[in-house]
Amino acid sequence: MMRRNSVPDAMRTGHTVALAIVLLALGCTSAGAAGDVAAGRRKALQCQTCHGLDGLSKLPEAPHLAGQPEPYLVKSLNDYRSGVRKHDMMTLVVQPLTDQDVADLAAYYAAIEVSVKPP
Amino acid sequence: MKILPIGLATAALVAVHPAQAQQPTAGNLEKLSEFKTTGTPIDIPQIPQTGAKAEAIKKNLSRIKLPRGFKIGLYAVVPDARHMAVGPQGVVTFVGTRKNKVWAVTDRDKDRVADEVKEFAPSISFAIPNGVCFSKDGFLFLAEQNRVLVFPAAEFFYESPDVAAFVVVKQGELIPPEEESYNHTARVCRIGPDDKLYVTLGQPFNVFAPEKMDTYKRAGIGGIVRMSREGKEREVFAWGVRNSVGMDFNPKDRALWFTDNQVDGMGDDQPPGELNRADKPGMNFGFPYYGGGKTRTVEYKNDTPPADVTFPQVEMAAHAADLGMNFYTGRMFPQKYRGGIFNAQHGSWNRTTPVGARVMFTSLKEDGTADKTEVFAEGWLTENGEYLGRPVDIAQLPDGSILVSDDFAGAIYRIWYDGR
Repeated sequence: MMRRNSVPDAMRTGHTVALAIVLLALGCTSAGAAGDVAAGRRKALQCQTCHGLDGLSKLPEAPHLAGQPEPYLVKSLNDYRSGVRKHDMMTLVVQPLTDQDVADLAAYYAAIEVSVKPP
Repeated sequence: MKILPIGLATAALVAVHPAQAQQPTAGNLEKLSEFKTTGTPIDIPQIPQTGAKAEAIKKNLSRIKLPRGFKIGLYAVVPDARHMAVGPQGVVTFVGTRKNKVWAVTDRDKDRVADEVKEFAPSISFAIPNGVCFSKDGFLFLAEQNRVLVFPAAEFFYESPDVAAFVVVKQGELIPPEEESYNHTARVCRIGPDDKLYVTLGQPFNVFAPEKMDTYKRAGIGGIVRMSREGKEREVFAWGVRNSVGMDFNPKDRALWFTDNQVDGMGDDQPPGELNRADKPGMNFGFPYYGGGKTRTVEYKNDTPPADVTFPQVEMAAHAADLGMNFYTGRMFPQKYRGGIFNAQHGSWNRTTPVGARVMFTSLKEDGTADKTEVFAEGWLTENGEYLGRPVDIAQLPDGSILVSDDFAGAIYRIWYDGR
């Protein structure tokens, strides 16, 4: 399911609209390029061994990415690219990424729907 | 109770995580060392061996290609399955994880499919209990991130949450605690033909900085250490190893062979992975001067490497991540496989086109050095580059068939030969 298709439905709730406006105002979304979910899934093959194609962590040291807020994913990847954040594996793997790659990957992982059941 | 059902696709996966009755308490290990009970509930939850998850894994196995006459089947559903130790009585296979559990896998009716998978020693709290190995006389050793335990008669005691357990290396004494890292701290262990305990100690960086050199050499970090079964007379057996997560002794000439994972960030096709042979103590395998095979690391390119570096016996595919390995001593497989090495390739994590996720076979020459290496089992990596599984370790059952663990699918497979 393309994420863009599901947005209008979600927009019906006031909360989501408000959140979207706040995010836009803060400029948190990726600069310019909109993420393409399908392209992000293809590019996520390089993320799968740690974070899973389903966005669920496959290694003890890697976090879940499924449903992660999109702006947070963009910021994290960009922080690794600029060197603000450092990690033996992440610092290496972000080197070849373009702004479009970052936007696509963030769009894909953010689009994975999750539900949780607290203990 | 820790359950996080996330999305429909993972419902089956989540269902296999058992309810955690209670957290193990610090101090239980001391009680067990004195053969006292800990009060941990007697009923250990089991991992379901049937259902959607098991069926999905079986379906994936239909894609696996093997040489003619070999078959593969699901042996057990085991979450996060890493290294394996088959009990000398052939009753229980113990399986480590990179999380906090060790599993006991039992094939009671001997139909070569496990009937029971449950937590081993749930009264003890573990940290990255990856490395399991047996002595010939039935003592199970467990190498954690920074501790080594021994369980005498593990195959007898495993039924109860309280098992006889003793400390070989105290918490914080396998490596200096300030050198503990989440990276490369999955240990493997073996009891050598000298009846000593061997433990691999991966160094935690991609390439470590020069100021770490002396500390690491002394501690055997980036190497393999050996000690008596009581944890005494510790020495660095081999050094210059980046991160070995698999080793075994050749029963024929007693040489220790080990895999090593090589440097990242030098491109898709270099440096090669390694299969190494240490036929005496004190050998240097070249890291950090060499990042795999004869490829020099960027960080140390202006330094002069030690003159006595030993290069690998086999250069494996770059980034394929060779992990667990096992000498084949069974009689079930055809002659060509006897006395050779099976090893698991976990598969690359960031190569542009993924490679690995297969089982390799290396035959040896008369003189005990490597002869030919070939792919034995593959198909866990789809044409689209998706992983269906990632093999971690190889172990041999008493009937001569082999087990392959997979921490991605959370399973153990059995490969047997019927000649058809």
